[in-house]
Amino acid sequence: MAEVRLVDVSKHYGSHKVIENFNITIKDGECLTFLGPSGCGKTVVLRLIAGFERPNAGEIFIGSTLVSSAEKNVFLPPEQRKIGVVFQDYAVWPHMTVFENVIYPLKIQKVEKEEARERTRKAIAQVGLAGLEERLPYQLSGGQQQRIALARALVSKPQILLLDEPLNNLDAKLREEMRFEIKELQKETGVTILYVTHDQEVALALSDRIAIMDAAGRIRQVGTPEEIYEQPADSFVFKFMGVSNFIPLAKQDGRVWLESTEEEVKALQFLAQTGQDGKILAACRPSDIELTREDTGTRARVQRATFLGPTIDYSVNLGGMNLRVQQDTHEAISNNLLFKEGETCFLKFHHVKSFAHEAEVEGLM
Amino acid sequence: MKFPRLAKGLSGLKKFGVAELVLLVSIAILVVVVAFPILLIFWNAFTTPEGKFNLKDVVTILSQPQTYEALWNSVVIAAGVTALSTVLGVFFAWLVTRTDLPFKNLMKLLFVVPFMLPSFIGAIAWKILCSPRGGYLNVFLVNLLGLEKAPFNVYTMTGIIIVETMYLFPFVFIQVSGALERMDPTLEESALISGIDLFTITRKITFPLITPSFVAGALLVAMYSLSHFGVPSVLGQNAGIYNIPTLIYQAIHASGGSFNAIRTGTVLASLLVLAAALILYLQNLVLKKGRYQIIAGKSMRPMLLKLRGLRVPMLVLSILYIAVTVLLPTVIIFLVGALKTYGLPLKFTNMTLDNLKYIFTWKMTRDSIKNSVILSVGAAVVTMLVGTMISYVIVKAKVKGKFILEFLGMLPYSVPGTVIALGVILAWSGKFGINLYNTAGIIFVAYIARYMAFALKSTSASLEQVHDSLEEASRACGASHWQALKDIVLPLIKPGMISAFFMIFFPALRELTTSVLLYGPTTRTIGVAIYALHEDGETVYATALASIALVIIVIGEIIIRRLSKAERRNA
Repeated sequence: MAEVRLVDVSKHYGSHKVIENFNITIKDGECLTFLGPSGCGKTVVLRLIAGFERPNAGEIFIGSTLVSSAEKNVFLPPEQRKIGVVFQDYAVWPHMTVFENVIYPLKIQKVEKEEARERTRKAIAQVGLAGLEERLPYQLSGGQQQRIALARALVSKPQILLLDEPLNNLDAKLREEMRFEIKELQKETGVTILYVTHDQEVALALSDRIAIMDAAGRIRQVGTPEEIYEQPADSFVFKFMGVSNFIPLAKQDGRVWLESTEEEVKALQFLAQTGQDGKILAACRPSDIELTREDTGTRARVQRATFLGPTIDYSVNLGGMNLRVQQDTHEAISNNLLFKEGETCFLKFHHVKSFAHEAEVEGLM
Repeated sequence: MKFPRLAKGLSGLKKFGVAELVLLVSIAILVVVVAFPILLIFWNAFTTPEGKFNLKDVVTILSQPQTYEALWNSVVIAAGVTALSTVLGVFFAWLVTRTDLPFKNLMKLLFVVPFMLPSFIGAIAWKILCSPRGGYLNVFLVNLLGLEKAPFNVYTMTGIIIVETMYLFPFVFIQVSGALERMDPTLEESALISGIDLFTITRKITFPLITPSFVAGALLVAMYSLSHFGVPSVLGQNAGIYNIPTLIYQAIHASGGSFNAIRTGTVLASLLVLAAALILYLQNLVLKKGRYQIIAGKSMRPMLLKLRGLRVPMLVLSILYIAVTVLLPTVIIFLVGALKTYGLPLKFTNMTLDNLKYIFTWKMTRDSIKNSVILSVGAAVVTMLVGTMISYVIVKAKVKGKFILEFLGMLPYSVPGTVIALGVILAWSGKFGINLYNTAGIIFVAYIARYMAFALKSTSASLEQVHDSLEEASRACGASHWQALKDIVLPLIKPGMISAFFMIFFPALRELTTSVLLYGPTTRTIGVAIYALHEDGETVYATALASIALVIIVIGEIIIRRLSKAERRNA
């Protein structure tokens, strides 16, 4: 178990700068997730830590060992870094049985035979594959193959476990299951985990801390899942954590207008109480908007209503802007608040966040 | 490239790891074996012995009537063979994939069989059958129909084109039938639903979709035919018909390898290289344009055209085609190989096994079998191993300067066998310190150059299927680069390596075009021995040796099929 530290790391492919002066510390024993859109360089960071890529600048430490340094010309190859890696495409060796796959790291390390067999059996049992030791990978399902990869990565007791979108190729149900299992395994083994994904649900469920990366390879925010969800640093982070409504507003003298039509939005009046005058970006989730028949001063028109069972999903038009609204079915029916397409309604807002400006949202996904 | 890095001193040297070393070795091998000999050809063609630039001789050689006649013949033969092969290949491919022809799977197999028969042996058979004087088929028809003169004359351009086509058309057939099988049938079905008739669909949808495949196959045929020695030599020389490869052979043999002859050869060879480069360029153009994603990787059930009344006639036509192009020549080779004297009627009482016995006891023929087996096994093993190494660098390694290797790796594809032979003579005849002339070594080097393309193709294809993460996973498990190669990569590409071995072994075993320019008194190969015996009028011994070669080839093919089937079952 060890801490991993990246200091001012840069990686370029030709003229394309993937990451630039990248700094982060993964604490000993924690599970840190890099969450970002595809192509943002999160996998490159993982590969730099694993030693599959060399940085163009900066230093990487695993524990107290300097493993990569462009300036000092230090480069420890992957096999000397005591890491475990699980890849998106499993990377289970097709010509070896489950047992042979899992025991391979121990064979390479020349662990004594009986001990190696014992540890292999334990690792296979840990990921729930006991009894399948002699099967070849093609005889197993995708989820089972990913479990082999997990057992293989853990059997040699690595200092850090690197997981590169390991659940992507699995179906939704299996993904949920595996997510709990990885969490369990970490509790059992106490291994430090770096998890790379673009799936915010997995990140929230699994991580001790999350680092949000943008398309340019910069870290926008690092924090616990609750911090990230409740106190997003900017509109980019907010948008990445779920379905979002953004309303560009202008405020002055305790009143707010829609930027587009200069209509006053009374329902968002409360945003004008604090902060400076000028342009702001109001942001909220679909469940933070309430549709009502009482006059709140902010009128909208229902464009589309879709019944989804427990909830109803609306698209409403406010001054030419489409907002997503989610309504609890039971509440809507008992309060007679079902709206039809084309109907007029009033809006009420809860938990609205305001950000300085909109520019940061662009370029997402 | 390497110099600025070396200038960095010791710190730079540290970066010089396994990948860089392997890259350098790979480049060195390709330069020595392929690039250097080819450069020598151009050098030799355009300079005097003193090393001065010289265009006068080039102009003289090119303005000789026999040169441009040969060039014209090469072009006409290549064009004719390509056109005919394309028509036959597309037609038969369509017949076995898109109609309800009976015994389709068997027929599909049979149409590839012509590949097994070496084309120069086929040419010898057709000469025996259709020579205007005394050809067995001619005599038979004259007697049967009471004709005044022989109906067929195989010693003509038409004869050469037809015989070459018989053995080259599978190139097109394989490409097109593959594309037709992989094509998504919904593309045609949706047109059918829109009420378009099957003929229009074939013309407007199916045909454009398979265009890239048949053009690729056709260009392959053109390239092969342009530099083909065997058939034009066996059938053309009597009638004074020369193409570029046979003219080169003639020039060098007539003079016993004099400087002027070699100079003539190199000028002609330069023409071949240019033609091959042009064809390769066209092929890339077509393939780039034709990357239709709609031809999927998996096979699907296409809709079949009902032949109705034509079903049986089409089957008969197909069987007849195979019988005439494969069965008849093979049978005639075996029969003539057993005759007591050439020219006797093909009766059982005229047959003997003495010829075979003689082949195995006569030193020249026995040595030729031994030479061919040793050379082709050796070349196959070495080329397969070197090819695997080079493919690994091209496909997998992350190393600067890889593009040099990618370029060099393209070269073997584009160099005709005759050219390789000439280049090898120039490079390995003592001028640069090593003299392999008249030894088996020079043929060995030539085979490596000639078949490197096959090894690169087969091994790089299987390396591409080994995803990078498999190797990286083993590095992460603590394996060094070498251990990862040994434990993971090599076991996974073994089938590709084995198939590379056989893709080299069999063509090398029956090789003629290159060996015929390189053999010495004790280093004849089977191909050379058959060719020489035939040239000397020893037709009976030539065919007897040819029948032994055919038996070896057929047994070998059966073994490969068994092996690859077993391999597929294990995978």
